[in-house]
Amino acid sequence: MRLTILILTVLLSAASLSAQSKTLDSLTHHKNLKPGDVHLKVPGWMIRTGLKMVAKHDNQATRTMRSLRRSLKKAEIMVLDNLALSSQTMGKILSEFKEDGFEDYVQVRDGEQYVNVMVKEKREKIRNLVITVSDGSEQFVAVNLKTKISHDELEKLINESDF
Amino acid sequence: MKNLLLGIFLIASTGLSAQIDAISKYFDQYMDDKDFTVVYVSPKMFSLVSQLDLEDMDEDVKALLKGIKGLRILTTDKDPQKYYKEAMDKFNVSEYESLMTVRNEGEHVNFWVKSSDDTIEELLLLVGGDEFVMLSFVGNINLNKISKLAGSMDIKGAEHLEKIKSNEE
Repeated sequence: MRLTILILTVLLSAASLSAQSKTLDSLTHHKNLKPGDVHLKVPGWMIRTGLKMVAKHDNQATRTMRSLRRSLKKAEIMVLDNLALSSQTMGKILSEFKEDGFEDYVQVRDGEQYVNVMVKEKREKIRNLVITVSDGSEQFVAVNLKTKISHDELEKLINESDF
Repeated sequence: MKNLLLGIFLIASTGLSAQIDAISKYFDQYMDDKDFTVVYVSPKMFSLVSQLDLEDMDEDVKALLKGIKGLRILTTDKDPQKYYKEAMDKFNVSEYESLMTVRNEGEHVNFWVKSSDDTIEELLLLVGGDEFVMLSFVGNINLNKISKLAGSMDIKGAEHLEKIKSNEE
């Protein structure tokens, strides 16, 4: 009984955490999800458990992940296939993020590909990181990370990793 | 007298922002054009990177990044001369001081700067030839160090910044 209550509590808290974010949800206003599309919300506890398991293997990548473990609060991934977003729709999506307090960090367009990195910062900590990648008509990928990465942690992460 | 000074300051700052606005409008015009490669790095990104103590980063580059408020790069190899002429017509280059002009086998490279006192507030690069490049740096720019930044950026068009170094040598 105790175990059932515990599992239910964890599941409910994860579900309520997922329901709080509306950032990538707003993308579905522009396009309904179709079979094959992915909209995945990974709660923080699941990320931490996953990273804990991976971190058992000691190498450069796992050391980097280990340092991220406490800073990643939630991840949301959306992969939409065969989606040709018009520049107007793309602009509308990006302005919705900006209305939500995001700021442009980097924008790159090269031919059909369009990459945008937006960040929401609070007290010198990256609270949200949204990366959108549009590949013309092939695929649209959006990643939304809810984090608590300080500049020191980011510095450590970059210095320790290969990129 | 105070009002006069204030007026002059306001007019001068309006002139600068109007020109920057013209460049961003030109940039935005081709933001969605698939024939162009477009890069925009925001002041926030520069501010963030300059605050980080990154092992691989040259101290000169770090000092330079602290002053930069934004970077815009627009390049295309489709009809480059047309866009070069269009940009030359649209931008009021008389507001800038010409830093360097290179003409070599059909390639035109122009560097302009806008400065106030001893500080360079804007660096504009226009290239016309086999490709069209428009590069605009805004902020406090140290020309002695900007060529080092070219080496750290793997961005098409940024290699022209190396010319500033060779010109100084």
